Amino acid sequence: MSRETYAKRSLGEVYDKVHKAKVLMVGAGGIGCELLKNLVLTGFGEVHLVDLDTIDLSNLNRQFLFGHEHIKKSKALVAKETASKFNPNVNLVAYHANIKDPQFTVKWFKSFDIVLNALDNFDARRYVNRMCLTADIPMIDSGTTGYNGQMRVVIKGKTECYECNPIEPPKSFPVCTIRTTPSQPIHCIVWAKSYLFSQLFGIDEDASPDLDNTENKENEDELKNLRLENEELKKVKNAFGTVEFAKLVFEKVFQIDIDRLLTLADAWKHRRAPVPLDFASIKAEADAAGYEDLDKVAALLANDQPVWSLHENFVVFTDSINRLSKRLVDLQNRDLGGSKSILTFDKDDDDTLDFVSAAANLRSIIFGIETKSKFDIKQMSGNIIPAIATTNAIVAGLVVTQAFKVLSNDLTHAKMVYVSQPPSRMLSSGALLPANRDCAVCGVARASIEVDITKLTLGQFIDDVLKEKLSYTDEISVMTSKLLYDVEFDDNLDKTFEQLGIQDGSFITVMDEDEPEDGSTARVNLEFLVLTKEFSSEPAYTLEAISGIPRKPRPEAAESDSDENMVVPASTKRKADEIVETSNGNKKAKTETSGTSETIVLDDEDGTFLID
Amino acid sequence: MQQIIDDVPRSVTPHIVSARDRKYDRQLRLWAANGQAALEEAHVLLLTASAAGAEILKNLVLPGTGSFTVADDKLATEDDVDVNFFLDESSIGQLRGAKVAEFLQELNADSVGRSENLTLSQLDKLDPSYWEQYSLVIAHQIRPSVLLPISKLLWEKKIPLVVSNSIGFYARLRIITPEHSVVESHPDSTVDLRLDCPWPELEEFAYEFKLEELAEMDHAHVPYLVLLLLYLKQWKETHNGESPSTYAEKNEFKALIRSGVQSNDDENFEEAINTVWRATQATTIPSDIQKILNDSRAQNLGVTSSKFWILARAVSDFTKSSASGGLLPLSGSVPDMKADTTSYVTLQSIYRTKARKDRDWVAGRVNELLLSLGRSAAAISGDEVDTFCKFSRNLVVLDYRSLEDEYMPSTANSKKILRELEEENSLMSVYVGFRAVEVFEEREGRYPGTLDYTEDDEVILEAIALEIITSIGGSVVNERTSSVLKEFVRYGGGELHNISSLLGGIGAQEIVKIITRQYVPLANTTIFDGIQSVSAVWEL
Ligand SMILES: [Zn+2]
Repeated sequence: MSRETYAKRSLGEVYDKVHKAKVLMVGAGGIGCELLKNLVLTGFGEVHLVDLDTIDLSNLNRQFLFGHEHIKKSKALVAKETASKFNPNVNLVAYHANIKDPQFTVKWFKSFDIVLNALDNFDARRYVNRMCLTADIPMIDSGTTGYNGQMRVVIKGKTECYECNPIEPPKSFPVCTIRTTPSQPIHCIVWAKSYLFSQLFGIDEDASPDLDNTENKENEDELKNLRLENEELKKVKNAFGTVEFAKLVFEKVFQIDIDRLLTLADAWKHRRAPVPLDFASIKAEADAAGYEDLDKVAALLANDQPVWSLHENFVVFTDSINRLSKRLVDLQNRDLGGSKSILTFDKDDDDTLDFVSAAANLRSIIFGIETKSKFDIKQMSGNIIPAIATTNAIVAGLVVTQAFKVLSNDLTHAKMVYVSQPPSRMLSSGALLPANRDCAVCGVARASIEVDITKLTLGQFIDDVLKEKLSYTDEISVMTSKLLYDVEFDDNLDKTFEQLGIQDGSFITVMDEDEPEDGSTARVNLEFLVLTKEFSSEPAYTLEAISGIPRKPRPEAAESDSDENMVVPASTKRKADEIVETSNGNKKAKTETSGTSETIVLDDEDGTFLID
Repeated sequence: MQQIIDDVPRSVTPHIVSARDRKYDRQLRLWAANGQAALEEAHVLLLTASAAGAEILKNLVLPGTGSFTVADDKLATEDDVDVNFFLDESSIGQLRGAKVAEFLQELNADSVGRSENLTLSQLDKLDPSYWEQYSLVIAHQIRPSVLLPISKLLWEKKIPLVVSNSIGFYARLRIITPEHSVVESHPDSTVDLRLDCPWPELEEFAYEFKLEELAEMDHAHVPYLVLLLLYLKQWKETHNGESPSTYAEKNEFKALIRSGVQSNDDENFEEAINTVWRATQATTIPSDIQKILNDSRAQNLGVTSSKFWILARAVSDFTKSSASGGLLPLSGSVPDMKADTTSYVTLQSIYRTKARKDRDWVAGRVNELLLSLGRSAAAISGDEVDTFCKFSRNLVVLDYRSLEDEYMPSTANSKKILRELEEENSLMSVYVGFRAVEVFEEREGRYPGTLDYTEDDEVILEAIALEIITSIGGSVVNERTSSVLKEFVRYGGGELHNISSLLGGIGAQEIVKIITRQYVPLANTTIFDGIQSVSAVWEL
């Protein structure tokens, strides 16, 4: 028997397609490393990988293409380098870049046969989902957390897309909960990390991502209070770098601010009132315990498992403030004249984690909330998701078997699979569900347009692109997050895209409100992805890609149940039934794998998904 | 300012929270320091440096398994390099085991790797004590005539054996160890409230609340556990001392609680109403736990008894003592609830104190037992008693079946196999396929499908499958099995890398559970079919 590879033997006819396939892999982290190895060893011919991240020590327990010598280097570039050593015959192209960069155009996406998503955050996954829908390229999405994982195939118009089921946005907390009425450890951690830390060492702004700053009547007073406190804190910051600094901060946030809170008598009618902390007496306690000795402080910090006492939190708080101050001063001395130096919170940076842990715990003590160990606070403040090689290996193996199905166009056998715990079973798999008709992402037609936003006006866009090229009538509305134009609102026609706040990567939606007289329905919404580009001459845009814009499905006549009224051809109908049948099995699988009732959003190295 | 800041006293980072902890941070959150320590003490042997075997080992080396040995006697070929990530062109013609061990070692310096030139057919010539250096053995794609004697030996020595196979799109994993006990099974919750049978301190605390005398704010901050205890007491007074048991009674009981609501702030009453089902359930010892406590391994301790059974015996004695009221030691956990801090903290301390008392009783009994067995009282630590008591409602003992029992027709799980084979699309066909391929390889000295002409192999393989099925009381090779057998022939005994990789994930995951004694491992076989992306788990 002439020598042929095992892959060729096992794959049969699919092998050629696999060998010729051009694959885009987005993400070279936990799943990415496994995936790249699998692709290289199952005969894929060309793989492009994109990842913005650099390698961290905590990656090395699973991201096996990286070693200690690679820490702080590009994941994409190192993954390529390591993997190609093992199979020099594969064409690997690596990009140390954000997948949302304008260089990755729809046209570029279109050049691939399949896109494999091994990403760690919602935002990028949503973006790739939209890009694949726009480019009409099949995508396989995957994610893991601890012992659980999942993957599914997404094909435009045929299956659910990544956003067919609404995804809960990451949890945010109302300002008043964080600022005035914390009741859980996480509230105090968010306060320490997103408010206090950034006020002292980071950006001088009210806004920070974990805080919901939407102003309404209810929190108006509290926001006002918050601003007042910020002003005072700025004054305290004048003592920055001095021996007094830690004491002033302590007294400001754990005593003065709490005293002021106590004056809001209404707030404490139904709640336990906070108890301010006294610097001098706690310091006396700490000194009595021998914490003037810095070696003893270091010894305390060498173990992150125990839950610290009040005076231990105090010691860590003052010590970490002094460490961070020193760092910031050094940084500012180095960057003289340049942009303003800041420190940012990083769960893997001990100075910042110590500060957040101690500050959060001190606040918890004030409000009678349970305190936590540094180990636990690291997880809660850094959105750390447990991650191991095994689950990534399982999911990546599944992704490649599904890629074979997609490349051989065998969609009836394509699946979504959940990895869970035995004893009942290892994997639960279900057939792919049909797209949600009302999905705002895949239920729309898509186009991408390269635009010189400083030149193209909304009027030109409507006349040239929408009316001229795409045959829209006057009965349309054009919107971003706000309305830009409709028949009764034409104020913006002379404004350029830039003046309308449209940027690179913005989406513009065109809604057709024209119901033609021939009885057909209006067209589905059309969503433009805007990519900015300089044009030296008119027209200041190029329509890069556009899919067909189908008409909306006719609302089903509820009273008719006879077959004659069905618009769907018989064959399509049977297909639809089949999908419905199998979808039940999947739903069942979904419920059985679910563990907790609360919806939690997870976000870390190896993927993000919802547990419901 | 530079001058001033330099004078401010501060400690010097990094502190000693080790680079090792940092590297393993993401997994420590799954199995904690004790799990990691168990992993770091383990020495794992891999028999044959195949692709799937190397993938399993990779996933054990990365998280820091203490040491590993790769045993193999073959020279690496081009085929090996094609599917095994841990071999490259330069490995061709060299000892496969040595090269794989070398590449795996590069993944993690904390893990100490070596290789041995062992010939499979010579394994029975080894001194039986050879195996004792290993904490677990992985055997990939090894013919039954070699595997069965090893499995018997390891069984006697209580060394876990994990058997794997991977051919084309199919994979199989089997765990063999006489007994595997788990204390830290990681249940969703360890909450055990005992509202149906409160102990005196809990009653005393709860009955001191006079709901009608409380101000609005205090009323809204009575812990719901206290509410339930108060209303249960009230209910029992008018119901001959019985708790609500029927559906109607429970609804009536909910209405009773609801009647006490005074303001919109009384979320604690809502919490109480939502927990009525739990509060009215009788606290008992779950039957699977009772079975463990009654097990002869607990009741007839000997000098070689494991810690688990000594602890189980102590807990069993506890449940029979007057100290327990016939129940397991209390876990001591209290769920989150709306409550004023003082009440909540007091409540927590009442549960903890009781848990501590139960645990102390068990610890005392453990000491007596150790003493009577002539063992040091230090043999079981206080932490181990704590953990055992805390998870006593969630203990797991898996008594695996031996490989011999699976393979001998007289002891095989025949009914299960035959019944499964009749199910549509059952993966049992793949199991039979693996068994048939093993016999084929043993008889022919090669895998089916490795010659140019494959039709004869299909016939032979089907005949072997029929032999196996007939030996356990069946009579036909059905259509589904027949087509699976043809697939096996088509694969020609070759591994497909992504399937081996997936098997590497599943295999290592189960091995980590066994080594760390955390989470519940597979019992005892799983089959994966990569054509359909489905798996099945059976006890065979
Ligand atoms: Zn959708």
